[in-house]
Amino acid sequence: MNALAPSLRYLARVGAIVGVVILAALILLAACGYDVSSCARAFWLGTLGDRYGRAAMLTGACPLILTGLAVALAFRGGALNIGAEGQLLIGGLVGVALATKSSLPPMLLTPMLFVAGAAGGCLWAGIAAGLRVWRGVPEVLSTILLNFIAMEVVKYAVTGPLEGVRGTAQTAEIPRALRLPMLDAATDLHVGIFAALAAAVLTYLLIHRTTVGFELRAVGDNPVAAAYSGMSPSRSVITAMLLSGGLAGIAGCVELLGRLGSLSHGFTTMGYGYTAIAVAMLARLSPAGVVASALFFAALASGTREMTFEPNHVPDKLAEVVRGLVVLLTVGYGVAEVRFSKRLT
Amino acid sequence: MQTEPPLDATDTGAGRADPLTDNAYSYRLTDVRKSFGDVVALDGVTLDIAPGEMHGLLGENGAGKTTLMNVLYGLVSPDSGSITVAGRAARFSTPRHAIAAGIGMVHQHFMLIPTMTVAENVLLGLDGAPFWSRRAHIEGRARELAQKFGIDLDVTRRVGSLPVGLQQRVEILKCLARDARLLVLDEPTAVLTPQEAQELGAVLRRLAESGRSVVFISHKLPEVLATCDRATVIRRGRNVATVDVAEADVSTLTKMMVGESVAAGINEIDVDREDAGARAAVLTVDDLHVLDDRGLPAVRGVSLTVRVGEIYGVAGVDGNGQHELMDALAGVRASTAGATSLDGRDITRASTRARVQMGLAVITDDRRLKGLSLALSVAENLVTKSYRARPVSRSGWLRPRVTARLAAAARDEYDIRVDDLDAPVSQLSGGNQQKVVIAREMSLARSALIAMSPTRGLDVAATAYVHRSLVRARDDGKAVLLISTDLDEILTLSDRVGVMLDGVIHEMPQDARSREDVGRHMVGAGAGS
Repeated sequence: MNALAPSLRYLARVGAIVGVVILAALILLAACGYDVSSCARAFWLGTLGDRYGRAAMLTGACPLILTGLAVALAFRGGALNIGAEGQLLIGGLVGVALATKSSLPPMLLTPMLFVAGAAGGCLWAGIAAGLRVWRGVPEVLSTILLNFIAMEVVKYAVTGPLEGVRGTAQTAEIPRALRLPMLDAATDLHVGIFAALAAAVLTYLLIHRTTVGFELRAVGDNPVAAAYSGMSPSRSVITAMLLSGGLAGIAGCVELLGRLGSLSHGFTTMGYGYTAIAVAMLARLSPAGVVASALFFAALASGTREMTFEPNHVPDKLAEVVRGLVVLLTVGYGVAEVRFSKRLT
Repeated sequence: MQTEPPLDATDTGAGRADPLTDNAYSYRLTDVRKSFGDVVALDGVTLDIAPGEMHGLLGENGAGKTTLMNVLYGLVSPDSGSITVAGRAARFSTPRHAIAAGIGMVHQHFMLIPTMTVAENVLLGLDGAPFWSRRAHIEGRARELAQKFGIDLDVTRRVGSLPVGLQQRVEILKCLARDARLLVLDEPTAVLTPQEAQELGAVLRRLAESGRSVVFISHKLPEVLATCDRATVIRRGRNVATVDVAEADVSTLTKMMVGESVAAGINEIDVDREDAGARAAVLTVDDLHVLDDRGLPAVRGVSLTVRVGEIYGVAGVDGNGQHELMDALAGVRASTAGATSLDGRDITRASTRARVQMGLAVITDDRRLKGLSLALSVAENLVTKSYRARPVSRSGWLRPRVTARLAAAARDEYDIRVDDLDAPVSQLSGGNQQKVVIAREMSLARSALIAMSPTRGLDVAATAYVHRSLVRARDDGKAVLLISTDLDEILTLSDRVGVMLDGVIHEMPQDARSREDVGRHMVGAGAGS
């Protein structure tokens, strides 16, 4: 139980920093002439204060948990997967293609959609993994570049082969029977959040309780020592990348089947896969931490969005600045802490 | 700025007389204290360095030598205590201040840029050369410096292509180019051949005669006795004594370093050598060839046999193919020709994992790089080679309770000093980290044990512990292959001795294994060559 103490200490420090930064954000809003108490109230309503706020926060957290887990898993295994975004796009694309084109009964098709989505993400991550292991291409580069390719592939698909009604630049609506059940019909909240939580538990078990996870951690920490122990760093990197890509692919499917209902150009601009990196870093790569940190990021998004509505009308851009400030300082602190603690040992 | 820079650092031209006279500095650290958390690294250390003296700094690992030097070099800020340079109080909050005050540091791991030439490294950040003839300019300056200080170096060579001994000279010249009045060398001979170490000693003596001061940190007492004027011994963060080397001898200094009680036990390892000739061969290597990372031949036809219940010691200067030999035997590096067998079964192409399963254990050199996963816990590091099989795991699922039980047993058996087996292994001291490696490998060494430089960086007590473990493995009937650059270690422990030179092992006859015989072979001056 000793191992918990440092995490608690870290949590306390992050909490303190979040508090200070939110205060700074409010001062910024005051300086720009907005009614601070009203903005704070809006932030409260947009996160925990009412039913709609809570739903918005949980719905937003769902893809962040899944992609955050994807990034954390890869990083744990020493694979710097910056491509959760691309893997999410391809996974979502494959899922939607199947959902809109196949005529199998929903009972059969629904599980297949997730398998296909995971497979799409795996494929996209697998390209980067293969390039790294057999060609020595750093996965940091290849995954970033694959993000852009994935984006263009989605754009092509929604204006070409998968376009629903000509000229709409989006796919046909996913049939109702295939959509994820809603938890609250008045909001967007769907069962995906449970899937995300289940994924967090499974990821934890995988990392800490299986031999595969043990290899991932050993290779991620020190590939040289792992090789001298008889593990195969290359195979472990491939495993980490594939699992990571699969999770990101599932994230894409969950978001499309749960919230969006159809795939359009807009899906390429949400950036869950990028936010996921910050989510995972702030969580210090721990699955439980990813859940907390994804909720935090989602709250930030839904809370600041609420500020842009009546009666505050904080401009979008300023809301983004506030968001950016918090992210920069908390994640920056997290990274700095890791580096300094390394220097001292 | 508390100390004004003694001189313009770029002004290293021939205008000034070479022997420092008027501006030679004395350096003094007084009552320096430093704690890291609960650990007291320095508990009031005073070090006085006179101009033009070579001052040895002696102490066991963990005595505080490195921390003390880091304080002097501005890398660590002390909790209390003072530094004076030439009688004036100084405070160094970064190495930049220390360099300005004339302090030059040669670290154990060189801070050089391998892709640059010697001249570029020496004048890095100082050059101020016109851009149209930069190369000629800095090479001229570097050559001038090398000549002035009597350091023999080809300044046009790329640093990466130089042997370690010459790289060290580049480091020294780099300090001198920044007008160092005090050179601090951290374990400078650890990486050198005896020949190179002697040359280094001569270079340092010349510098001392010109009025510069040298702090020479070392474990090796004979070297300190041979080259230094005075020596300061510290133990557990405190001064033991500062002595005139002319009046000291090895045994008094040893006692000062380790304290009376431990000193008595140092040479008590009892290795009785029985006739091993008739025993069964366990590890057989036949005409093995292995390439190094650059694809050049590093092991060039090694043959050896290690039998049941013997320690075969391979001596040699670092860089003669020992690493590649160990890698090939561990199965992490492919051999290009030759064969290896274990207990009569060919393992030339066997994977690392297969070798582990056959009972071949390897204590690698550099435990932090090759032996341990520092972020994983002590318990996890104990099972990094056995995690796939029962009882540590069952059908792919780890069994943490079993691991915890095994780890607790290993902690008791191998006296690993740690309260929490779930704490990262990085929190352990070097000696205890090595005990983790030894505990793991001993449990796997059913047939053979390979150990490479197993005591590097360990203090006297931990070293004795490792030596006892190797002897115990031997007495249990294991075939032990000990590869080490520490000649004393090889000679004390081995039943048979081979010398590795240029990728080949030459086995010494039983009647010719004195220090001198083996040492001659190590530097290529053996009878046959």
